[in-house]
Amino acid sequence: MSTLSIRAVEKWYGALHVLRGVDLDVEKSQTVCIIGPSGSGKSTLLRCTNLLVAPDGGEILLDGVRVNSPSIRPEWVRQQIGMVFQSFHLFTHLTALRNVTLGLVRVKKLDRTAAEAKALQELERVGLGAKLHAYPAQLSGGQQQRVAIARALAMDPKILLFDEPTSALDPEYIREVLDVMAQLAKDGMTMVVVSHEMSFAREVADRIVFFDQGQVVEQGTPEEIFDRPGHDRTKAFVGKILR
Amino acid sequence: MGATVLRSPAVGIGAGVAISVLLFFALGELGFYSLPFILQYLPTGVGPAEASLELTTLSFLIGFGLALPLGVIRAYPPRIVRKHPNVPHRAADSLPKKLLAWPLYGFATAYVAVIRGTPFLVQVFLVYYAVIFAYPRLMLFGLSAPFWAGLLALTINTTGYQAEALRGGFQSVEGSQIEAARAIGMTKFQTFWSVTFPQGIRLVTLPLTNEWISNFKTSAILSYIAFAELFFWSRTYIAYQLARPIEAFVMIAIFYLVINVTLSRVVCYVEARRRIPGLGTQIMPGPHRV
Ligand SMILES: Nc1ncnc2c1ncn2[C@@H]1O[C@H](COP(=O)(O)OP(=O)(O)O)[C@@H](O)[C@H]1O
Ligand SMILES: [Mg+2]
Repeated sequence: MSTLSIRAVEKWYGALHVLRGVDLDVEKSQTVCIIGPSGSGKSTLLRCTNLLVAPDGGEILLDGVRVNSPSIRPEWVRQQIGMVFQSFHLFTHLTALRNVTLGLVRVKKLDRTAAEAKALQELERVGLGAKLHAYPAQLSGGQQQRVAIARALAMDPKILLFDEPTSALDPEYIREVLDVMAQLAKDGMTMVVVSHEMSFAREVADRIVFFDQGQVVEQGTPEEIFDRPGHDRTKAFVGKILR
Repeated sequence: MGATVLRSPAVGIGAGVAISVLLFFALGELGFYSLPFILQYLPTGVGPAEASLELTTLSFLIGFGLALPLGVIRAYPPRIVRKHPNVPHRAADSLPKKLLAWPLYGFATAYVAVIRGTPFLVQVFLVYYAVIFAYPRLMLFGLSAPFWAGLLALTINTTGYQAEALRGGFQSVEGSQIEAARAIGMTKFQTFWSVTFPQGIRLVTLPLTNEWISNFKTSAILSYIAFAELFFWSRTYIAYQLARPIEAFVMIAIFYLVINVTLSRVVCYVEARRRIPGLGTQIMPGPHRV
């Protein structure tokens, strides 16, 4: 059984048909990389997956259980499906440590000591054990994004979604974030990553999904998609990003 | 080194105070008012000043408690969910939510509009006569109608202004951070108390200080309903009884100025000390910048 199954998901924004029957399966400990043109609905797909926005049709299955259902609290679903955003979205009024403990205390109801121990462990995992008491504004972009990853990890999600996690970073900070993500993949984390970082897609991803106009056009191993794309639209897009 | 000393807050404040004091004495020497008289009678204003301060602060605190829910209601207007023929289904708001949201929002909006759209003088007389008609011989905890009517009017007034300041604060918290809180599984309520509220309060610290100062100055109007505050003291006692109108209003200006400047300096200092990097109102340029 797949950790995550997206079945025929539909999303409309007014008259705009953003997701047009999306199907996608992610197996446990797999890393799936989604590529596709800007505006094709990749972010919307991730946001529908953790129910930050409600899908208008279709099913989201987590370990085989349909989670976009009135009988399941969306807060519980979001705790199971972590999300890392393009622009980090750290809480500006909290230190790195507090950014990570907030969810542990409020959502997981850990007491402060347990929450801090857990947060420390996750921050060390992303290489920020020395920056516990820095505010987001005192951290570089790369450090902020790693705090955001630690914040998501701390909730012990079944799967982590990344929405262009390095697009807002200065080039010199991209590597450190990708390294953390590669390590997570190695540790067996299940991940869906929207990213056009070729090195990451080729070396870390188990599968590449080409997404266009609200649909999965084609998917396969990195070699299949990048070296022998089957679809004309894939070919054109891959040609553009490889250049 | 020299430039740093010149720009330090103490020097700026000191220079301002020194110039004001010099000007004050110079005008006295030139005969605009009698310095000895002012220095002799200034202490008689301390009691009325305390009355003004207490009333202002009490109404400000009660007003804050009332403004908080109003500000929250105003910050989250009920949404008009436009139906689109292509959207197959969408979870509608529950009926109690629908029935409550609009009247609450309407009330809060009307309240703010009325308070901000009418003169305080009018509000005071309305409240005063309402109180007088309802309880002609009102006496509570040894305090009579002018005090209670004054407190009520000031509270009603500052509530409207504070609600609007708080609304602005809550609404300027970044939506992306609220989304991040939701993404780790926090409920709307948890998100408000852990993210929107603490950030919003920091964003409105200086606007709320301005509101306290404005409230303090506005309290002078309560002299019209014979509440024995600062303005009442200077007008009835110094200006009429002792027939020293110029001195009366110079003295009251001194009281207001000293209290307001002290408070705003203290708040600026505390706010600057407790500032979180990357969060907060832009500090006014000036010598108190830290
Ligand atoms: N909240 C929204 N309201 C209206 N339209 C939206 C909203 N979010 C995204 N869209 C539109 O949906 C389309 C897909 O957006 P998005 O999922 O962000 O694409 P991508 O991440 O692939 O660039 C775009 O045309 C965008 O303008
Ligand atoms: Mg996007």
